[in-house]
Amino acid sequence: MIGARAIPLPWVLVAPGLWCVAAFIVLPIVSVGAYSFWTRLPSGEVQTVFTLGNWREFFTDPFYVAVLWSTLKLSTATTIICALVGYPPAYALSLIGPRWKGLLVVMLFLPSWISYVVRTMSWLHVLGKNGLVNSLLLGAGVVGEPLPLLYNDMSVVMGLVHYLLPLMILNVYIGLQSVDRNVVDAARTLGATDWQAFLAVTFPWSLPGLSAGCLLCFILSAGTYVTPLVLGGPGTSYYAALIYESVIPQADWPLGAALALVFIFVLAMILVAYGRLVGMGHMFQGIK
Amino acid sequence: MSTVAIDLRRVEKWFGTVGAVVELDLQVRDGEFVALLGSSGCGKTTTLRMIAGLEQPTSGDIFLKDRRINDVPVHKRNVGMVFQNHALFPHKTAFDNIAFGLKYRKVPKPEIQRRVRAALELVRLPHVEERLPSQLSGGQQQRIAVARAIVIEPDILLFDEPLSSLDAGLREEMRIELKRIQRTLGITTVFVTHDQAEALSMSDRVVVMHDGRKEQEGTPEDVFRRPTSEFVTRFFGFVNELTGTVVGDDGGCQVMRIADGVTVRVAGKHEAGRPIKLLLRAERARVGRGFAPVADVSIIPATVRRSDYLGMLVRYFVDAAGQQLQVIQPLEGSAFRDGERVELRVRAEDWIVL
Ligand SMILES: Nc1ncnc2c1ncn2[C@@H]1O[C@H](COP(=O)(O)OP(=O)(O)OP(=O)(O)O)[C@@H](O)[C@H]1O
Ligand SMILES: [Mg+2]
Repeated sequence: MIGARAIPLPWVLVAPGLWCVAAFIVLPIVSVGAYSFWTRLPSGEVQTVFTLGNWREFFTDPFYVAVLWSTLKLSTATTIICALVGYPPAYALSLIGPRWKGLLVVMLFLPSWISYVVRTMSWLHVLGKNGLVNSLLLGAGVVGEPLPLLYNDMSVVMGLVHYLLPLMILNVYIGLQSVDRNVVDAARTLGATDWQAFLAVTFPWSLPGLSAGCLLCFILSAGTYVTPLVLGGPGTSYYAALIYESVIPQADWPLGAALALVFIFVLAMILVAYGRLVGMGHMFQGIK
Repeated sequence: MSTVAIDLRRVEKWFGTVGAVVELDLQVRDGEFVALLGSSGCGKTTTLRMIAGLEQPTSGDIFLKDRRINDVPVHKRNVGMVFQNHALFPHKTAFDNIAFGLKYRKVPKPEIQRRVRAALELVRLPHVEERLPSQLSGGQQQRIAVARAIVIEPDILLFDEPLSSLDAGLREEMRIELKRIQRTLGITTVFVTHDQAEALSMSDRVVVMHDGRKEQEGTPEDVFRRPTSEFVTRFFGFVNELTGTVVGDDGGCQVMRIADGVTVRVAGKHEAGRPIKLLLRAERARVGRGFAPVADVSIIPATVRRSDYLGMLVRYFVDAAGQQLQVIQPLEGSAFRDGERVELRVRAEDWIVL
């Protein structure tokens, strides 16, 4: 009781959250940081002997930076496609009457009840040599031999878009929900056509939702390793898959730790830059 | 003879099986200020939105200065509309809010500057050009919304409960302001409200709506003094209900019995031999003592049951003619006490017989 009286209420309220952050985020990162400076013996065993070898490996071999760069490019492409493809359905959803709205939102997330891995695997049957698309094209005589649709960057992006699109739609939809229809109507009475009113009122108003959706899509697509592992080809280089490679099959924990730390740092920098660009406050508050 | 500016002919709007507006005929003359008055859900907003073009009528025709505008899209109708919640563009400054309509009219820049300034002068709100709506008070936001609607020099001005989000004092002030602006511009105006005081004090003509239909229309005095239906009567405050039977004639009035041994004089001619419903507004009767027995006035013995002190006014609940009646009157001196024996005075023309 004495302790509780001494601590101000706000701190008492955030305490559980702070403990969670400390236990599940700060502590693991610190331990990953420690690992990255330890030595891996050829046997795979890790010795708590200080070394800069793992970091030297990252900074001297241009391979790693190239993979990082390609990952960011694929994530950006995924995000842009999600935004372009996701905005119209989100807008339609915001205009629809309340009766159908609930049903459609449920349907939007219906696929997520199936494991993400299974959904990713299902693309094999769609895009594979004997898959749906190729069978149809061959059957129709459009192509003479199966197209190489699978195991390249395209199929990875497609899998990622498939995975992330509902999240984008939901975020944009929530952003659009806050649009005051009266303000749009006001623009129309003042002489704006439907399209002009959309550009002048609805779109700027939906930007917080859109930018939140973009951030989410970008972070999630940059961090995933299942999709590139399943749908990527020999030419696909994906950073998260690289970390997986070094930690699991190669059992090189110290190198994996260094790679992971670099990734966390780069994503954090992107987050900060993005926040500066679109304004974090504006993203989380929306327009009052 | 002024011409008709807005003409609604047999306009209906159905949302599924809900008749939001039914068989509505409405004419607004050039420069006239018409108030659409009615309780919540009676179809006022829907009517306004149909005039603006934001809603398509299910049937019927809408004319604007002899031109049928059913198929004219909103952005070509040239109407100025002021919304209940102001509906300002939150991410634009006051200046840009007002200039919005002018930009779509391809007005040159210097002209926009001049007209926005003039509009701000008219609503008496200069020096706020660079502020965002969130940096303005409720009343100031309302003035910007009005400026934005009038700066485009619209053919008609539509208000949808523009004052309902303001507090009482400000509402009074804006009432006078809006009226002044409307007079200055001489612009045809339809003003939607559920506030009777607003409708009566501002408009040239009041249209009372009920359940999507036009219930009554006329000058403010007309609808207030001579309601043609019980709904309209009750809309303007508390109404006592009594039953009377014609028992005789007395010059211009008729004598009606409203209880055993209690007769009153009622203006007009009424059918004899059957009970007739008599309505009496709470503020049209007087509680007192020693009233002079003038012709055309009835004096009924009464007992005060309870009184509510309302500041300048007092509300009495009195027993008279075998039932409880409500009377609201100015408070002169001290109020009568509960249980006191008093008299109730009613003028013959204050009984409402429908
Ligand atoms: N888009 C809509 N879909 C279905 N019903 C509607 C719609 N708009 C209005 N209504 C119904 O039409 C009727 C009239 O609505 P309207 O908004 O015109 O009322 P109002 O007189 O403006 O009421 P208030 O004073 O509450 O604003 C109501 O019963 C309402 O439920
Ligand atoms: Mg309304």
